Amino acid sequence: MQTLNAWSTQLNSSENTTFERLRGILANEFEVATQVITPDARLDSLGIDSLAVIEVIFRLEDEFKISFPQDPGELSTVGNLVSSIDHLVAQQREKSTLKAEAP
Amino acid sequence: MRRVVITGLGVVSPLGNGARTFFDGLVQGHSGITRLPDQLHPRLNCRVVAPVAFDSAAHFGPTRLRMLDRVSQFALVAASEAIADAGAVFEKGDRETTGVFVGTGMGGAQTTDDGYKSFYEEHSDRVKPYSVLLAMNNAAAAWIGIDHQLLGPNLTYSSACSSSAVAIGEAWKRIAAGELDVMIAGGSEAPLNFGTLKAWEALKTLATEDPEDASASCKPFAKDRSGLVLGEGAAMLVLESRDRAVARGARIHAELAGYGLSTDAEHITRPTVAGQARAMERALECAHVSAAEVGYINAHGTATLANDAVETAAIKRIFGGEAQTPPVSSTKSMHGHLLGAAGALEFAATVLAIENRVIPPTRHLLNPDPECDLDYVPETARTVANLTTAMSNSFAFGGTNVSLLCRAIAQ
Repeated sequence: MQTLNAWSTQLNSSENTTFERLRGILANEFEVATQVITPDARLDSLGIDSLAVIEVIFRLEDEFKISFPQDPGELSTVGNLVSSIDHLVAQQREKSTLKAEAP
Repeated sequence: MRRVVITGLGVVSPLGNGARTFFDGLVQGHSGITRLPDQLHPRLNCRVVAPVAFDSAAHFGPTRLRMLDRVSQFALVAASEAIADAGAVFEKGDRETTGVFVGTGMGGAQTTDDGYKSFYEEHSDRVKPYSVLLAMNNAAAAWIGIDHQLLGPNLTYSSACSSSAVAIGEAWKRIAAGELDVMIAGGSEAPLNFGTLKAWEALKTLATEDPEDASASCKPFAKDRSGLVLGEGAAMLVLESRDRAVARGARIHAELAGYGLSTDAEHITRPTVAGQARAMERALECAHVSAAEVGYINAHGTATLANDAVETAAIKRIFGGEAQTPPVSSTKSMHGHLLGAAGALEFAATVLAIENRVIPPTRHLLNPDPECDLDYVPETARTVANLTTAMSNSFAFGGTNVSLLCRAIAQ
């Protein structure tokens, strides 16, 4: 719990973070009230059921130019989504760097 | 048998949204038929359609819209108008027993087309998670039930172009038989997408564009008719037992007095005089009304070569020659062919004709076909002070023929 809070503080302190972009999408396109979108908020408690999560994932794939794997792992909270996005963005960056550096 | 009345009407149509706007458009002879922009579908030969001006975002939020195909959006807006129009219809309860019967030919055709395009053309593996729920034929009826908490039977009828006339007729039966007191019945269709238009084009039944005026491309009963114009929209009715409506002091549009249903069982597309005539005859028998009492027929009148001549012959078989036959008009000349929603939209036009004692015209009938020799109320609406009884015909591919009979409530 302590680490999550620390992480949450860290997320809130920087601008235009993954979290903020995600919050913008959830608020504007999925009609979730901004104030309840916190890293530890469960998606189902925000009214985003298992099918809506797939819609959210499609939207995030377009937004962040990433591709979620068939089995995206644990995505029950907003924080889970943020970690997954960051992980996939990093992976994507690594791939393109490798490609660029290839002989 | 109990008597059944119409206490609510709701319309989403190519002539505008709202029952009043729709009927005003008909009486003024407006056309909702328009040219399809070339750039929209460069691979289509079909040039004219009858689209609905509809701002989805004005009616539904983004989360809701993700769950609703265009066909369900139309149905919900029309149903809300009809229920509001019926006044305090659920004030004394009855939501537990009120049913919803909807007709649609193609259901969520837009969703199906979008899904195929994404999968086949764009090679995307991302199919929208709600695709099945958006596209299923009973989605429109289900959402009406959910939104208005109507717990009675919720059914969807699909018999091509007579779908919603069947839905209205079957709803009438439930109330007439005393099973239920209130029903929401009607139809919705949203077929104006690339795949569906292309399929209709292949069937060679679509009208060619009128070179001088695209809005005049649908010419029922005319010698120069070239086919139907596909349209979209919805019409919903609140049907109620007359006793209940009277007891609550409801404003009554008209009585739904008879329902005739027949099947051609001969050819999948070609209509038969005998089949159409049987539907009309049964509607009259069911209402205990003689042919001579009918003051107006809202024809199926698709403007295809096959339908208009056969329907004319069928009408003459039941009503006698030209001298005995009441005025007949095809409002499809103005709103196009709404397929599964056509029966409901045209029945709404028929109810409003009775209520207002005005017969809407058949537009673009300047060059009559000698085979179509009835009074089709060409070009201009006609006021008929003693108009009390009218019939609406809906015939379909597959051969399911429906005639609905309505009459003024004062009788």
